[in-house]
Amino acid sequence: MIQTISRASLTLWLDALTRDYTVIAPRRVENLVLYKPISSAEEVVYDFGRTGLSAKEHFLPMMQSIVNIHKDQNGLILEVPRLGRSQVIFGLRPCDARALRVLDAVMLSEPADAYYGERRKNTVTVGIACKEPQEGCFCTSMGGAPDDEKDLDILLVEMNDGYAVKAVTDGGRALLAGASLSEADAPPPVSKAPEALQLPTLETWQGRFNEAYWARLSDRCLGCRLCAYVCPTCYCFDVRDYAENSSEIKRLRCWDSCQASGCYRLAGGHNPRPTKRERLRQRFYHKLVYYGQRFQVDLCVGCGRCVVQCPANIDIREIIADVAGQ
Amino acid sequence: MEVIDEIKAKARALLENGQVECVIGYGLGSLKVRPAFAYTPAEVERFVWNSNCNQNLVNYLNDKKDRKVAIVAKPCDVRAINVLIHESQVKRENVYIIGMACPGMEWQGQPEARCRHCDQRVPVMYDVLIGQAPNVSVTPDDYADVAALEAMSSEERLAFWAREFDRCIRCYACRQACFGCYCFECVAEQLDPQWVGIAIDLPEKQLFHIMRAYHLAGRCVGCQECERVCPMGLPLSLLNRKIAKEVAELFGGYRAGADAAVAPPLATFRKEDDLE
Repeated sequence: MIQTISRASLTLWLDALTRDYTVIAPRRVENLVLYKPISSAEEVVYDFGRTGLSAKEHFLPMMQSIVNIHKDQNGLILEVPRLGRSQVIFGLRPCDARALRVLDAVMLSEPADAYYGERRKNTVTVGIACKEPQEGCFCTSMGGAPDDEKDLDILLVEMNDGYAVKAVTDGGRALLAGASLSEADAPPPVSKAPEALQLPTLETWQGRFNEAYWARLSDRCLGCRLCAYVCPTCYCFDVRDYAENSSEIKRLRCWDSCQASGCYRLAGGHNPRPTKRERLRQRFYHKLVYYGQRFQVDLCVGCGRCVVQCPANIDIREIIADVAGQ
Repeated sequence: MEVIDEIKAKARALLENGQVECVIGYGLGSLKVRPAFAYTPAEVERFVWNSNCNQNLVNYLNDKKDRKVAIVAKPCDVRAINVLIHESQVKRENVYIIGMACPGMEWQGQPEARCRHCDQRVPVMYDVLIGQAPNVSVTPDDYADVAALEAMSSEERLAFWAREFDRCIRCYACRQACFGCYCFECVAEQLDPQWVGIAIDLPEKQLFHIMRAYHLAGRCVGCQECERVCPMGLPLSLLNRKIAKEVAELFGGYRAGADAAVAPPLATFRKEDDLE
């Protein structure tokens, strides 16, 4: 026996959730579909395939004040901005949910990132399984699956007249308390999974570090930040103080990218990764070698966003195959 | 001989006789046509030529300064080479131009609007010309999109651009894809002194895009690479087209890069210029 929810009940449930939570769901933003806060279930887009950006921005905002500094005659007052209402992220794909676990490894290990941690603790995720892979998808190569429930609080799987519902965690069960569920005998259809790639061994990666391959690959790289910004697991940031006037100052943390020419520039001007070759190579070694060595999980979930969006068609799947092969 | 075979034969010959060290052309990628760099005659085999060769490869000449290279270039791309020559970024003698007579390109399965209006199917400059200029009827560009923008009140226009720029994520793909954005350090990223903050927020996004558009005034060739690479779908070429139209109106129909002998109006000064 499986639990199900009709489309009408789902809409009612989502509308009810918007009263207590900031509900974030795939919705249309001009010509894109993005995970953004909704005010009504009517705004939710269901046939979105893959959103243009991941849901990362709701855990690591593009721009976030980490300290507000107020200065007056009594001195300085430091205030740490807090997350307002708890969040529900609806319609998360299993790969994007896995990205949160991957990020937890670096963000929540000591010293833990309090801002990220606060958002993680106050977010409930409701996933929707992918029916079939999109162009560029390779989740199964990175340890995920199109119907993987393990990094979600609730998993929905589309059926003829609604969704199969599985509460994975206690948080998910609690969130479902107000939902009108039914039961069905037949299981939902099985997701079609992308074919898994063969990953190179650590020794293979290490042996190829100095090969001309990286210089040749970087020939066509534009050196933009698109791959890092559409990526659900890239977490580089930069911090700067912003003075709005002489008494109001904000310490802002904003997205940054390892592909930016100044990203590694040190005081004094030395840049240990001076050209696109070193920076591009770093991107793939960080994702597929160093992060795994440190945290036992790769810094990539196979969502395919960089694959389809890179203007120069630098395709991480091809790089995996090139490094593994020959 | 097929057009692609002519490109390959020329590229192979240039590499074999050592005239250039690299030929920049189009190759078949995993999902689409992508830039291909051939350093050996064998690597030329990956080259393709079809209606998806949209990308303006001239941007890559900025990475190959003072090297002998050949480049597969459409008429609009060749205008970009002219701009770089005028600005002393590229030396004519270092670049072998494999000029393509252009049938027009497609984007997302549709003929590109800019190509429908394009009256220049043969490059203004080349070392070899490949292909036949197509016999197509060209509808002149009426700048209807720019006219619609001009018809707005300034408040409406501000709201329009604020809504568009708001989607920007400051990934700089537009700038990195642009042949004309070759500054060693972009003022939008300079940290000391910091002119534009790091905030991924509307004022900074607006400043960046308007600054970039002004910086391209009289230099943009309308390849629209910026708009094609934008992951957020910003209508960046609308901004560039507005300025190109103004430049043409102010400076006797000037088109960036159209004539190697004519100096760019915004890079020249004559005493008799009307400064009003």
